[in-house]
Amino acid sequence: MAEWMISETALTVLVSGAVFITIITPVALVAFLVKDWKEGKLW
Amino acid sequence: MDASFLSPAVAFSLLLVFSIIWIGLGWYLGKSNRTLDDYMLAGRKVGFALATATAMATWVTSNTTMAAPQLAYQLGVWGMVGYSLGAIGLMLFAPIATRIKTILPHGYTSGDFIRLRYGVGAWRTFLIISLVYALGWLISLGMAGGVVVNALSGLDYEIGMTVILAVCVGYTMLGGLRAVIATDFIQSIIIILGLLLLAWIVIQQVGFQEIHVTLSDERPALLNLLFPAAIMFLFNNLLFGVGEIFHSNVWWSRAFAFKEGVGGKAYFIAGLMWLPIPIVAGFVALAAPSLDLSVASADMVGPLVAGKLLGTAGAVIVFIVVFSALASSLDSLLAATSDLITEDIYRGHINPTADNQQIQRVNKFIVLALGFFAWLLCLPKISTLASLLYFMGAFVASAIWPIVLGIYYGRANGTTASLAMLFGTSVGLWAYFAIGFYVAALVSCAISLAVMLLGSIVKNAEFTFDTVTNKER
Repeated sequence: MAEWMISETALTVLVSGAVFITIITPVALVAFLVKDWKEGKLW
Repeated sequence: MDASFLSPAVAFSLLLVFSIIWIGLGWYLGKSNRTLDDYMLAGRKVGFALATATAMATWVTSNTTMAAPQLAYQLGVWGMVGYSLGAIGLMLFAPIATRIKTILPHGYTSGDFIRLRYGVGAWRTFLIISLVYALGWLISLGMAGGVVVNALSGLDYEIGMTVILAVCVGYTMLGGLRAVIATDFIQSIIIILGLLLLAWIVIQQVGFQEIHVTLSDERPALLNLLFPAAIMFLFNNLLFGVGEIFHSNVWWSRAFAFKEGVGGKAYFIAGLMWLPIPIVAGFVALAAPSLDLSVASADMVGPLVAGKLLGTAGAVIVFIVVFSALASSLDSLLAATSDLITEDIYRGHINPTADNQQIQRVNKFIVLALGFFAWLLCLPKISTLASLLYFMGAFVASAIWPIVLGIYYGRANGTTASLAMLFGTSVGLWAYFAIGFYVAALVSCAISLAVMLLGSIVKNAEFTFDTVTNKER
């Protein structure tokens, strides 16, 4: 089987990037919720 | 590692606490439902924040939290990255959600569109595919609830499965889509925070270097970006995800429920937010070899790592995350499937003159009946039911092109759409058995496209989209 191994750096970047976006997500969701609630656009 | 990570008493207490919260919220939100639109579609004005959260949370199922680690453990980097490509389905649905709201502003279900666009034949073909898939998914989620609770705590499968189904049926019946969406928001936050905590602990206590070195020595295939099985899985999973989202009333009902101008943005951002989650969940599993864990069953690798690093606290986190993931999908599926049966079977075939009050009563009854039916089929824990979903890829992928071309291309017609779904499904199923599960959706999609294009050329039809709006109930 041919091989092309992901390096430690690439694995670190991939997972760290995913973790970073996932950290932003709940912050963004709550911020959007507060904004919608203040503007009376919740539902 | 012990057979159970939590005691049954702790597990039952956790189930009870969250059950009270979800049902309480469902009851409270149900008080503000006045009309059928309020109950079925949360008033058709759901704002961006709740829309984005519900789209993302509904797509986070127990599979995302349990199967993503399993796939990372078995297929390596491409396993978890391939799983994350399920986000493409959400993002590609964004323009379709906008278009749906424009051409069918008073619609209720995906069936409404197919009926108005293609006629009765294609509508019934589509309903069979959609309902069989929805029921299969419902049963697999119900079973997953019982299995996971039992694996984590030793609590009897029947008790765990019954409690989870009953709670989801309860708050969905009481509060309708508003309850589903509100609980989805809270559940999405819980899921993300739980996964982040686990990933952070793995990074701190094990580290990227240790994980990479151990995998290089002991399981180098998991780091191989040319791992053939993983690459094939990647493409099939992408198409399966697109097919699931494009055809399922879970996503169409949300497109109708979201405020005008919100659907496109919400689905796209939800896709971006969902994309890293399987990678974060999958990464936790890659630490298993470094921790010298004996993994008897690959789908339990996530809880095993959490339990090893955090003990009971880790098990509690996994339990809460998985319960939230299950509930956020079960409630959506119950609501959307009930909508489809109420609107397209009851009002469409049995009682076309039913008024909105009757429809709302029938809808609530069907939520209850679906829950009971799922409970009955989940009780014997027939594993083949869960594996039903594997070959449903051929069914759902056959509906992609009839839907996409039906929304945008005036020459697509009902006869061709029916044939596309039938041939796509048939050949896709043949491919499933003759070649393997990893090509079923791919073959089905390709055949369906070929039939749609050929039929659109051969049959001289021209559909004007204002017809859809004019023929709405």
